[in-house]
Amino acid sequence: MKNKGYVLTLDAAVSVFIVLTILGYASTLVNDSRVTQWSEYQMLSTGYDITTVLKNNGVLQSMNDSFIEESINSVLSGNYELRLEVTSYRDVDGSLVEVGFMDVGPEVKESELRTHGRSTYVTFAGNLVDTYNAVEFWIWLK
Amino acid sequence: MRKGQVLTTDYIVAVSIFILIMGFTMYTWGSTLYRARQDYLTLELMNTAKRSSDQLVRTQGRPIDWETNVSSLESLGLASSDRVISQAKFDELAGLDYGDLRRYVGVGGHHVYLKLSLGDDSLLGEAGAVPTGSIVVNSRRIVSVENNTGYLDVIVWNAPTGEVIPVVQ
Repeated sequence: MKNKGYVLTLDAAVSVFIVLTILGYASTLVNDSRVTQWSEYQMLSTGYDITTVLKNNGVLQSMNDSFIEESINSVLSGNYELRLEVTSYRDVDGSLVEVGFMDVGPEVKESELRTHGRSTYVTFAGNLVDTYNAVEFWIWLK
Repeated sequence: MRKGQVLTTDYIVAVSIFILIMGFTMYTWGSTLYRARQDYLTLELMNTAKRSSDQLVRTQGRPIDWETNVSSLESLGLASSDRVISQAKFDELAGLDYGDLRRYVGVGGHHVYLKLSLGDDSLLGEAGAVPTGSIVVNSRRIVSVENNTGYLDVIVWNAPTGEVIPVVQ
């Protein structure tokens, strides 16, 4: 009778322990995912903001890598690193031909928090489109 | 007599274990619920900050020249084009009543503080209420302003009911 009681108590204690462990672990996971989600959003919006601002200011169109790097570093948060690649194409007889490539920033590093985005812009010569440009960026936590 | 004493000891030990486990379970349950509520609130603040900052830096507002007649304002936007902030629009926004500002920025029952600054962090303008809450979410956007690169900080935060809110004048 006494042994039976012990077994029941042990059984209850083990069950409670398992439930609490799962509950605690699940709660930690939910919390971590929120932090990660926000950091990814911040990095992605920073990447798109920078490429748009550089386009608006005519910095990207200059295709001057040191000027672009300086402009990026003046606004990029110290926690982040950013790599930017711009490929330029020109319309030659109806097909796009690569006419230029430029990369700015360090090599992409493996990081738990890293994100990537793309955008495009065109440059004009007078009223006509001169080049079609594809911008690609990678941004990650240092 | 001896039989009764054994039963009492057995009973006390069982009740102690029960109370211990019950107390621990209730504490863990309570703290998990608290964290879940905080987590939900944080998520709501994050979504509000994302949505509001996008609206402010990417749209001109409606009508597009609302800064010339603030009473005509239907939808708030600070851009003159994508991610180019109009200082005139920000100045008019800073003059809005705090209740109207919250409504136009769309923060619901939460509070908001907006700060416009240059790349070297020199302040160009601020509006809303300085954060004092326990959960504060900052969506920092990189923008062009007055032909310079700068930042628009959209800070959304919650405050306990009844707390005095320090509104920037």
